[in-house]
Amino acid sequence: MKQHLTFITFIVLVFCVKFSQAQIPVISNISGNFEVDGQIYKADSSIEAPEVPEKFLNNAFLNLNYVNGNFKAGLRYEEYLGPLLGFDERYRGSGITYRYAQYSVDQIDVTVGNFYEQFGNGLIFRSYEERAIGIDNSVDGIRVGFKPLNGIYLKGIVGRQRDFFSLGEGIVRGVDADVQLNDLITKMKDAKVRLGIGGSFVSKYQKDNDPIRNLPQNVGAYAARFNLNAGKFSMNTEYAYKINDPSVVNSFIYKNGEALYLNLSYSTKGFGTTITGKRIDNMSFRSDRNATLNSLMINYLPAISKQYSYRLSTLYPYSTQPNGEMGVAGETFYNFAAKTPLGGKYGTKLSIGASAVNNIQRDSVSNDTLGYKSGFFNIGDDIYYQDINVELTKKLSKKLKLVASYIYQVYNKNVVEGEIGFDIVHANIGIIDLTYKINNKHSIRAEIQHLYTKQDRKNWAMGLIEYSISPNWSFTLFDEYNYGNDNKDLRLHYYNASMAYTKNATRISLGYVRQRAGLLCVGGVCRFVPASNGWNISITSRF
Amino acid sequence: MMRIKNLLIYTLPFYMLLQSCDKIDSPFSTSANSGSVDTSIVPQRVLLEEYTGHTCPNCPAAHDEAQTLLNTYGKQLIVVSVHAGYYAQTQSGTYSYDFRTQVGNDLFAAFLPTGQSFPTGVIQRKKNSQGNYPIPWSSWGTNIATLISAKPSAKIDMVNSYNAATRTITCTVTNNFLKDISSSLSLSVLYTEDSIVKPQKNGTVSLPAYTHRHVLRGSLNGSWGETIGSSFISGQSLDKTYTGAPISADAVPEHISVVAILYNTTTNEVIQVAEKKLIE
Amino acid sequence: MKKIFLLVSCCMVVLSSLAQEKKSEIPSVNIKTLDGKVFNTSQLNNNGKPMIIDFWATWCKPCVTELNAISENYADWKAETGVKLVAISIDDARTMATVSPFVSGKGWDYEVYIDNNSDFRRAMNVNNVPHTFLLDGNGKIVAQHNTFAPGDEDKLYEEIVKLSGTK
Repeated sequence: MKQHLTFITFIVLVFCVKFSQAQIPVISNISGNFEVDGQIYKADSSIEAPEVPEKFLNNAFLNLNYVNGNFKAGLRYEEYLGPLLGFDERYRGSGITYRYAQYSVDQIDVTVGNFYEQFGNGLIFRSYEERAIGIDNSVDGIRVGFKPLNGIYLKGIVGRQRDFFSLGEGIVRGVDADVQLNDLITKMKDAKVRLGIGGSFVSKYQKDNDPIRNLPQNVGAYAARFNLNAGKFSMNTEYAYKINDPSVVNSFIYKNGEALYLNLSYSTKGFGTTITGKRIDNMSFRSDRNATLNSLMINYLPAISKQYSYRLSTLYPYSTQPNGEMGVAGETFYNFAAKTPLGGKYGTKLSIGASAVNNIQRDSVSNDTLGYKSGFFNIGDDIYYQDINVELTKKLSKKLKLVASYIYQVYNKNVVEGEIGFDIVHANIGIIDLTYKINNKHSIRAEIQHLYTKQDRKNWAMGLIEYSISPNWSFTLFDEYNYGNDNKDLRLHYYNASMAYTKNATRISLGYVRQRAGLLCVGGVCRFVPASNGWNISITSRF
Repeated sequence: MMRIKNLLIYTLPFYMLLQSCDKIDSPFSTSANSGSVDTSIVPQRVLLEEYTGHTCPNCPAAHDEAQTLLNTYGKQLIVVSVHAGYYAQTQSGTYSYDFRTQVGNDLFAAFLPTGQSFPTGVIQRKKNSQGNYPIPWSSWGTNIATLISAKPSAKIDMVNSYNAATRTITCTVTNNFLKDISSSLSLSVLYTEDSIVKPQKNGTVSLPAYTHRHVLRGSLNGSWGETIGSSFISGQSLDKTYTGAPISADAVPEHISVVAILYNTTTNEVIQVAEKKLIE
Repeated sequence: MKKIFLLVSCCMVVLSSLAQEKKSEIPSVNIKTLDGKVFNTSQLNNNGKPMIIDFWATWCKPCVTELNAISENYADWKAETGVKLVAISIDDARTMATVSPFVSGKGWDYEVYIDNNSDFRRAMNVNNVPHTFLLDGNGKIVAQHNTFAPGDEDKLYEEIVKLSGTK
């Protein structure tokens, strides 16, 4: 309460100062956006959808942003009364969860309040939001950016991270230096090769009240990065190191942590290829050593495998194992131009990719509390995830467009979900996506997907039809059918019927959905997300 | 010159920050304030209700933590393992044993929000600073350490008896109040069984003969016990006797302990707790 | 709590009405070019001609469909109206490295930037992608659209023509 009052006073004071100054060209604007997602839940014992006491659950937020020249301020109000099933119960509540004021002058810009920031690739620090899956680890504190010379960007942050409707007890502080050599060194200004280097240091403080263990109160992590761009060829690499950080995620071992990320890519008109290698060893870094699931993560360890969008290809989603993994992924994109033999009349686009991720080799150490030791180049024998994917996009005629895709996935259900008895899932997925343009405004799209596997719940089939009337209307109907399940009672249809109205920036959708259950396992703890059944509504807009 | 001076000033904090790290060398553990208590002083006991399940892969780590804490605090810590929720469900095959109880299901429904992740625990049925009951297993030590040094408001003594013919447990609980208390208090008497050897999932492996400890098996007076009064004065003594329904056919009386919980009827917070083996 | 919220909103509305005439609606945020250079969004302009700012991501199917659909006619659009499409990718560190090869492999001709921590997206108040803005020569938002259905690109073109016609 008091905090907000002083904050508002601060804003008002700045306004007074601003308007008493000489006239400066002003960019002033209030803008914002909001979203409301609600669902009515009906218990359904056949899919084990539980009884929801409130009957109606919803997530909603409103963002307001104010810009006036070099001054920006904003806030966000969020409401989860109660949070939709699948979202952490700790979200239950409502209030202002994000507010900031930012001012930039000459080479400095200062932000107070909540902010999002990333150092390099995020290996030791990334605060960001992914509203759709309930991730928000904004830092509440101060952020200072400083550009002392052309080509050098320095950043410093101090604060505590958001944890649902409160703040984590750990204090996070960090600094980052980003140097673009071509802007800094005048001789290099017009060089064909662009070079950049950067380094960051982040440390967290959390009091040790543990009666049994002797825990480090300050834990620091360093990272160094380098990137190079030579016209068509580019390279981006980053190395991170973290000192002992015993936490619930790594079972309280005192081993240090390391991560290496290396990407090489080549792009030219009509062709592009990229390959990424990654190694992670004990790099879970949170501002509270007892935090699990999606709480209080300080860093971001990106998965390198492809992010899929077609439904059945997301049945077995891989997520980075922060305690240790090592892998490589690559993808190539090719555009066969129109009127060439392979391109056909309208052109064809092809993409091929593959990835493989294993665990790291762990050797025992004499001192148990150190956990293990692992040679930097030693990859383990356990497969965590592998995939091969091919996608072809082709316009067959003036009215008909096809996207065809084949994906092969090897998914270690044990490791990612903590399940046993299913071991590795091998899945073959075929997808056909056809769009037929009836006339200028009407079009219809159909998708047929099939997943073939001999493990887990066995085969699935999925069909989708979407009818859209540009620019405002869209009607969708789809069904996922687990026809291959060994258990006859589980051969269920999970369907979704919805319609959406879009006008400019506003979109309203209404539908009925029957959704399958799932498990969410992050950081040593698994949470069961129950199946659900019922009407849903979603409204989003921006102003 | 000015620019370079500015640069140096701004980079100075970086060097300072680089010094702020705690590298810990072995030994990594400290022996905590052991539960060595002056027996002439009545100790405050703490109740840890651990929520678990036989198919919960991350729960054995929490079980180990509870055991370490029991070794540290001895009789001052009372652990009750409540098997409930998704991970306590039975599956045909290995995990077919039903550990669940009516009282366990009621406690699970009351204290844990929907979709609560396992493992988790509730300590003294007290809410944390964010207004929730569940406390992550790695924070149990820290939480218990704060609560266990409080000055107790009551002393509980128990006398148990077991009727082998009817397989029923009778317990007489003597509550001695050490302070004036002007809120409504309730007394709940539960019983746990130790050393039940059944399968347990641990990470990605299945342990076929795992020793389940202090498993909640039932209650002598319903899930929430009985309200025993709305105000109490220092020095007052109150006796209550309860007899429960017969224990299950496969329960071993020698492994059973009775737990008496004296708690605030409105806030649920535990005032005092005591545990005594059924057969000594 | 609600009172303060209301108070702040009122203050903002009152004070913004006292402020001077609106100019560019593009906030100033640092994003990156495909070759890693830091770029400030206040420099986005098309020399007084209409400009499209399109928020997309490599993993967003309708976004890719929209950009493919526009690319079929992009050369004509540029010739007839001088419009420029600026594609802002919100791909984060996971898929950021694929943006440049992806764009090349699709044969697109757009000006592409990477907003990998969604700073520009947040400043433009974009909720979901695809979100397409059409701005006039002064940087004012004239039209915008969320989601994509085949045929939307024709409506967009109508708007661009209207804009370049009134110049």
